[in-house]
Amino acid sequence: MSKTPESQLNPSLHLILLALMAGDRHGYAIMQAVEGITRGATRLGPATLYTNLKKLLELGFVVEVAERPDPALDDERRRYYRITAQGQTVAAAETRRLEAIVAYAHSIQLAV
Amino acid sequence: MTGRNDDPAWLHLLDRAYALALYLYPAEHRRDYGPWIRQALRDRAREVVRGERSLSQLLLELPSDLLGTLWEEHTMSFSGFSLRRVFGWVGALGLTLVAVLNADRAGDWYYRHYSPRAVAWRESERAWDTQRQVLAGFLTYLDRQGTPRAQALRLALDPVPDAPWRPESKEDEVAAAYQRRKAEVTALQRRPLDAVARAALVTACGHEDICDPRRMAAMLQQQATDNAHTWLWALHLAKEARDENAQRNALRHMADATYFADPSFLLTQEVIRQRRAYRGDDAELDDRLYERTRSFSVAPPDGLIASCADAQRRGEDDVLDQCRRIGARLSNAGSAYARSVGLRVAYRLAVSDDERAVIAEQYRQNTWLRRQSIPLDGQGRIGPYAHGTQWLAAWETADSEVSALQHWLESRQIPRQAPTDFRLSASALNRLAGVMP
Repeated sequence: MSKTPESQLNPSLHLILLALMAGDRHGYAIMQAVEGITRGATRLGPATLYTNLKKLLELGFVVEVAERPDPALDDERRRYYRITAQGQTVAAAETRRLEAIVAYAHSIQLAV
Repeated sequence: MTGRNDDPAWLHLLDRAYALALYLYPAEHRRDYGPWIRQALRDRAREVVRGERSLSQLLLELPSDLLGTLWEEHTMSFSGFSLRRVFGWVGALGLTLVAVLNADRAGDWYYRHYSPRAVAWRESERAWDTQRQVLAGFLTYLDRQGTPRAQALRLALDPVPDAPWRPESKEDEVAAAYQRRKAEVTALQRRPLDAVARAALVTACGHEDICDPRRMAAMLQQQATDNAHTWLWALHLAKEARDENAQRNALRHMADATYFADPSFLLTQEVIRQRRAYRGDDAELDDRLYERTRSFSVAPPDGLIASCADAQRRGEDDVLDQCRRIGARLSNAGSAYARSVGLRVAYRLAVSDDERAVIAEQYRQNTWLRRQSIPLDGQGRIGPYAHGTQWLAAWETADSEVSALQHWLESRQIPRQAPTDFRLSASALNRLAGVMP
């Protein structure tokens, strides 16, 4: 079975793409966004974050944009990331796949 | 890209240590992403500085974060032999082995010190110290007496230890304690017992694997009691033993019983009364003591609810009538636990969606139930600190002895002289065993 783009997404990659759907973010902002999306259930470590970002860059789902400080934090320069059109498509497809699973679970009256 | 001047010294140290750990990664990855990874680590560390999390939580996360990515990066970038790559692999393998061999210990350490349950346990243990001293004194007093009744009461009041950090597991000393308890109960059953001792022994059976439900149900049938809680126990055990006659008998007695008082509540009240004699008013401490009584046995309501459901299915009107009476009385009881049982019975017997909606709303407003997360229409185990902060156990009139005790507590009358020895009144002893004097 050949790999489709969305089948290469694991949960962490999917969450990072969702975090970037709201706009360009730097690494720490992505970590915070993922924690917010999952209500604290998933905390990305620094190494895990950048390994995943590297994968997303290689797949073409994400691009790096200009480095600049985040005024909300400090004046350290931070590398920002942006989701590409392909990344948005893949994230949406994965989301639809998960929705179908949840819908099935509800249909068999599984307590979710 | 380095830390800020206002970062604490430990953060700089952590940053430098982490920079060294990054040498385990392939050079290309370290060059491209190392500074940004370190920056993210510093951001995480500043969460500790802001008090958003603890340093130990951060330190425990880092090894798995590193190990999980080390293998991946080396695998992705493998392209030929180099000494540095060998060292990287050896280092990664070594770290993995160390982590695997110690993961359980690390997890256990963290759980014992920082999990929400551990924090809550420590706080309650601090509050429990005084009460435990009083209780320990009483248990010693019962031990010295040595009579079957005293032995049974001691078993009923001395909680079977739950593993405090992992309640779902029974390891080592907890397993041994279970075996000791089982042996004591078995030995005591062979002796001639009075009604008080029989009821106390049943109460000591907090877990099914300690006592034989058939034998315990038969023991309870032999005694007269006006305590609905004791009959609730009898009903539960009769259900376990699949004894329909015993179930009907227990339901009938429960419907006609005059009060509902479980031994833990009664003991708590008596202990608080003694404590107040020593220490005076302390409502907060009393609340915590009350919260702590989970370790004593409370009759599970599942047998009652299942019996009522069976009666409804079979159309047994006389039994249904008893169930409705029990449900109504429990729903108006002072104890939050008793009310929860009453509402669950009423919900099961409700005949219309409107009626069920009203009951569901009442259930939702019960703060104790929200904390326990027991579903209205399901079977739920009573969790830690099962009793809420409701005091009143009596569900009948204010003339019952339990109500009088409650009234005494609320009026906060403190004896002039502190008692020098812990002892319970004869009537309290009987009520602890679920038997009317």
